[in-house]
Amino acid sequence: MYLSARNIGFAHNSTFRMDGLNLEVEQGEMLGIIGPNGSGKTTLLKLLAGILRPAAGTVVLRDQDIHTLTRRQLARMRAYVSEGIELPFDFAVEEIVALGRYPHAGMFVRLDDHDTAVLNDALELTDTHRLVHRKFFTLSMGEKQRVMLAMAIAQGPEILLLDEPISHLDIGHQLTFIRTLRHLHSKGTTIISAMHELPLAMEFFGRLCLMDNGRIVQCAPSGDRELLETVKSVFGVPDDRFIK
Amino acid sequence: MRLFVMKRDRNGVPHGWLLWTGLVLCLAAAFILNIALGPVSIPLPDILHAFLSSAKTVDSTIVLSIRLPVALAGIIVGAGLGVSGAMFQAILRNPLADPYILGISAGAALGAAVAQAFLLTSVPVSLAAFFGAIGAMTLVYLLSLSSGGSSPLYLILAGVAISALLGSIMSFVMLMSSSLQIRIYSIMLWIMGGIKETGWHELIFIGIVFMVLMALAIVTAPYLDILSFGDEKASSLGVHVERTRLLSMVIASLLAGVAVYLSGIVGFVGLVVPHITRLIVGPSHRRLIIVSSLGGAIFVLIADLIARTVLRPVVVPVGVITSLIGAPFFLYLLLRTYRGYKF
Repeated sequence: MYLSARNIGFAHNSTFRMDGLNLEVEQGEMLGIIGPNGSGKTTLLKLLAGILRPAAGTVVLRDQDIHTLTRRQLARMRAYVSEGIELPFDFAVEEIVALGRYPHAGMFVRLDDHDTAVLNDALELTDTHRLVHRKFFTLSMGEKQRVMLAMAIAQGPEILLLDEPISHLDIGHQLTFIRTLRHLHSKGTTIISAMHELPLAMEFFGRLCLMDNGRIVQCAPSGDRELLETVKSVFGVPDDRFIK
Repeated sequence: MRLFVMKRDRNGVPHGWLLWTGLVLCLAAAFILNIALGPVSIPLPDILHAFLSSAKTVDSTIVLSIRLPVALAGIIVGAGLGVSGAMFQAILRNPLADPYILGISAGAALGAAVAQAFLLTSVPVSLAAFFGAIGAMTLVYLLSLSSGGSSPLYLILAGVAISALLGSIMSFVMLMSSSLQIRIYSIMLWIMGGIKETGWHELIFIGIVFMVLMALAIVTAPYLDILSFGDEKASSLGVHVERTRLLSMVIASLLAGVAVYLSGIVGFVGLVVPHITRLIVGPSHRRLIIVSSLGGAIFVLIADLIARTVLRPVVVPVGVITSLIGAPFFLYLLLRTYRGYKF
């Protein structure tokens, strides 16, 4: 298996715990993680990204515990886009995206032609090349999310983990953003994203995992009928008008 | 298609060379004026004469053993505070942070008070203040660690608490030595900040320490860019957040400590200078730190000049002048720049 969480245990404090969680992710798949607020989607993503360290169990990437990799090695293999970002200073888009090359170039190495090519690709893919000289504070929410995605793509990751990347966008920008993810997916990037937009998740993601209370309730291909029923009961929304 | 032409150094900075030449010329002018003016004015040819000729005149003695060390110390104080402020603002992810926010000023003041009240001449005030500052800073860091990692929030909270605690202890110390009113006055004067006359040997030693710290600050500056994005993003980019933050905090604290050693507590430089600099050259930290060092040095040299000349022969503490100029200017900039921004 490509990326797997094995018997993960984790607790934030007394209010949230995860016990014996297992998840298998295949290379190149586009996996959506759905579930109510506080069900543990973000925690799971951070554990998979190696940002949080599990209290028990391991996260294994290509037969290797990710916590045995150095931070730089890990940063070259996976990128993580958090839900919204607040910057204290008004960096230019160009400066932000370029920092995505840090895991490869380091601080004391000048960016070479390869780095520049990767950066240009990231900008074009996310349609942010027209924004390079803009300041971050002047960007709209949709533009900010695209810039953070560009920064993540600049890391050149095999795995892209995203935490509710489209929650603050309008439907038009949501679709554009997901198409970009689809495009990355078609080029072989493994995508794991927490999603609140169930119809979009069901339409565009290959597989969905439903979480509740720190557990994975069910994983199924996104068209699965049975999953739909579980979703309704977990979210406590029996009405067909709200859940497709 | 090449959209990304890596010119990070030029990004968003209008007329790069103009800025650098302007800054260097301003610094040179402030430096020379600082040496030339004072209780006795020394014309430019005589200053040059003092440097170039070995003949000892009254003017050359004033220049070489009083004015020049003070002006050099002024550069170290200004640059140190400017850079330290820029670094703390990034470390704490807060543009309103300054070098004193984590207890350095309170620790320095307590150190100075204790030295003045009890130790008298056995320990120099400036040295006691330096150790007070570094001690307070260390205490704040350890405290923030014990409450769950040195996150910016815990650091600021611990800093506020320790500052308040040390401040009250200092008041206690001053009350206990109340039989000696003059000492209280001299403590207050020290705290308000002024560039002390320093001997050459001491100044050269401090200058070397300062330059090493500056070099470290400039080399490690890009890490501050990454830390600005928050612990989570920084760590997902492959940075060891805890270690990097500690390193930057040690450099920034020592720079502030050196400034405290030379001049007491000169307020507002570490807040205003990086802020103004960021408005001009943007937030990228390598450039920000270099320009802040020049800006801070210019600011302190001019403020010191005003402090020595405005109420001649009375010397106003330079910290009073820096705040007096800095605060209104800072307010003006804030109102102008952030009009329409929502926080």
